[in-house]
Amino acid sequence: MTGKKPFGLIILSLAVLGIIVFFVNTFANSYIKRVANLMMIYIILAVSLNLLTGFTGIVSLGQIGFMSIGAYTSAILTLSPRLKHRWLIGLPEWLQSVHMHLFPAMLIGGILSVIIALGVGYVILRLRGVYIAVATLGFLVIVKVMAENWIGVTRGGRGISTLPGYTNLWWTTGAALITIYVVWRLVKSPYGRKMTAIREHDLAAQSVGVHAPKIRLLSFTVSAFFTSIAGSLWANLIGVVSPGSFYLWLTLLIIIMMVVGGMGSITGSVVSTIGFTILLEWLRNFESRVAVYGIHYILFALIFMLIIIFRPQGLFGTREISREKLSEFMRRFLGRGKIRT
Amino acid sequence: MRKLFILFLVAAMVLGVQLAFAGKGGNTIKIGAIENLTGSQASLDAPSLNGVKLALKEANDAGGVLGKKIELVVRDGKSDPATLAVAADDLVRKGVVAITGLSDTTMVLAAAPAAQKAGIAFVTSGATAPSLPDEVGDYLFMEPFGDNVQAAAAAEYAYQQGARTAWILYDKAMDYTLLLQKYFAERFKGLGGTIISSDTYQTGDTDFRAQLTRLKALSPQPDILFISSGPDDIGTIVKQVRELGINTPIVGGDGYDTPLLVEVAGPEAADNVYFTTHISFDSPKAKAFSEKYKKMFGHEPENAFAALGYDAFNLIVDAIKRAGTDDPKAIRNAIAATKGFEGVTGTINYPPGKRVPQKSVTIIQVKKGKLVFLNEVMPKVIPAP
Repeated sequence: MTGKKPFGLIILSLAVLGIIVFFVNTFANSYIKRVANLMMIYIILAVSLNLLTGFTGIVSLGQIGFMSIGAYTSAILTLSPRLKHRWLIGLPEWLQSVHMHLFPAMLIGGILSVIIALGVGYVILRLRGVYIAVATLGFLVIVKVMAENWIGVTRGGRGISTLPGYTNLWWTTGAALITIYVVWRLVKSPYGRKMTAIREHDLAAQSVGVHAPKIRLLSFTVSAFFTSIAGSLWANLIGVVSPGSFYLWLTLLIIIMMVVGGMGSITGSVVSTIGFTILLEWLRNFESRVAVYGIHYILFALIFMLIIIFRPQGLFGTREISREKLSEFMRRFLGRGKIRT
Repeated sequence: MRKLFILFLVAAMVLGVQLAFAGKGGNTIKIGAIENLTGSQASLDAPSLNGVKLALKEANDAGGVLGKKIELVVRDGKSDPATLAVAADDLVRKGVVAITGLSDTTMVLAAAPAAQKAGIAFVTSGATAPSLPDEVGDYLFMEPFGDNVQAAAAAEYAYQQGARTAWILYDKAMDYTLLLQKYFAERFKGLGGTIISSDTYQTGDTDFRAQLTRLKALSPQPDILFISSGPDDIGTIVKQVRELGINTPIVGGDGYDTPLLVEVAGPEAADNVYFTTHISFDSPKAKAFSEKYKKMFGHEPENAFAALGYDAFNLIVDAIKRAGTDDPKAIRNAIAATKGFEGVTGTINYPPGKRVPQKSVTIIQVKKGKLVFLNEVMPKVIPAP
């Protein structure tokens, strides 16, 4: 196998993806678009959570807090100044007059999350195991309570509505691809090896010279950055942010998507997120047809339990689809004749 | 793993096939209903959907509209903004010509922009923020009166009955409760009354003793307590007020119009509670509605939202008849031109350029666990939205 072929494969896949995105974004109805966008946002969330939990072994229940920060930041920056003057009276004058497009707002939200993640992570990441889970949950609660009570800036429980809706499939797919690429490069880098080492045995890793606190903080911060980006995209997709949107249900949903896909497998997160998004929509439709509302939660939980019982490591475990495996797969199924000649 | 993967593939394919055939078939006229049938809003939205279903049955029994049967497409919003937005898009995709539903302003703000974007009229059956039509756009209509109207009615009634001072408690997490107390205070002060002080809580709180202790410490005590609350909390609040030995009259808005008020607070505690709402089930028109409702669902309407859902659906059907076509834009214009539509909850007119109806307000007193009709009024002065 030559080195060029797999590279061509990547270009080809990107081109195919680009064509799909183009067609869906241009011709599909708003429902398909909305679901596809949510799917991409969930992929960003699941993959960045996987970096933290799957690869570094830090069980965080608070990542959605960073999503909230990203969502509120981009909501405040993209809301029309006319409404800001009326609703967000706690903002300083210059911030009330600012009106940005999605991209700068997204970046600013991301940077803000990184700063907060550095501070929070510095303190929290000294803890171990289940204590981290509890502390990060505390962070999530703090973010929610702030969103509810900082009324001059967040409009409290009423939320900020009538956002311009800049998010489209190009943004979400692009952000998802960048997330996957960055996380993939990171886990394949020496830093990634150190993360895995910390996950496997914290003490052993430190004894061979891995500076564990630094690596954990790196993982936490990168994860927070992308989670925040997902929040910005979500805000401009749904058009209204309210404190209740970024709480336990979403936390649970993303954890389930990640665990089912396989902790420590980016491919797993992507595949299971796609699967679950379609499944959830299908269940919702099914629910409307049989007119038993709420049954969707039960079925969803049941599927999750079955997977955990019969395949506790998740669909993919820690395996990935690599270029080699993909080439081999294609060779075996598509080009069987060619190998022989 | 392969099996699971196949399962996912099959699920995807089933969905795909459904999507491919969705929206086809032109023998029916589709109307969408989006309601929060699960989650915190369910006690308002489920009766609302029942009202819609009753109206649907009547319309179809009478031969449908424009010679076609009406098909109702229902979606559950799960009291969650993301789900509501997706569900609204889903209704648009199904080819509905108009949408009704939802009883809360925040929920409408998540769902209605999808309808606005698609050029489909959205008639909210229960959300009452008068600023809503301006926030969403020209395809949003309100079936109920605005909060400014009901709050002004409550203030005027309380003042007439001799109340001069009021204490306010409100939920700061909801648009509805926030605006309601604001309009009440504005009108009450306009009449010459005084707001002694006001306090806040948040949806989901279960202990209100801190606020009530502060109230008890007030001297002199207020003549009335205006408690601006959503349906989930009001029962608990009333219970705790009475437990602390405070027997001052409690006044509030249509958030009280839920069976939970008497159920949670108990009949004794709920005495001396007054609220404004859309309908009294004592009036003859409403009695006829109640009977039909009981026949279909086996029990009396739970609250006014059942009647509001019924009216909102009939309003849409009436507009389709007047439009003479199932074109969404023509239907929207017909709704905007509604004059003298006789609903169970009152007569609906949309003044030119306005999408909040002029409607009278019903005042109810809770007496021994029963809701007693006091008066139907049109406030003299209405605070600006």
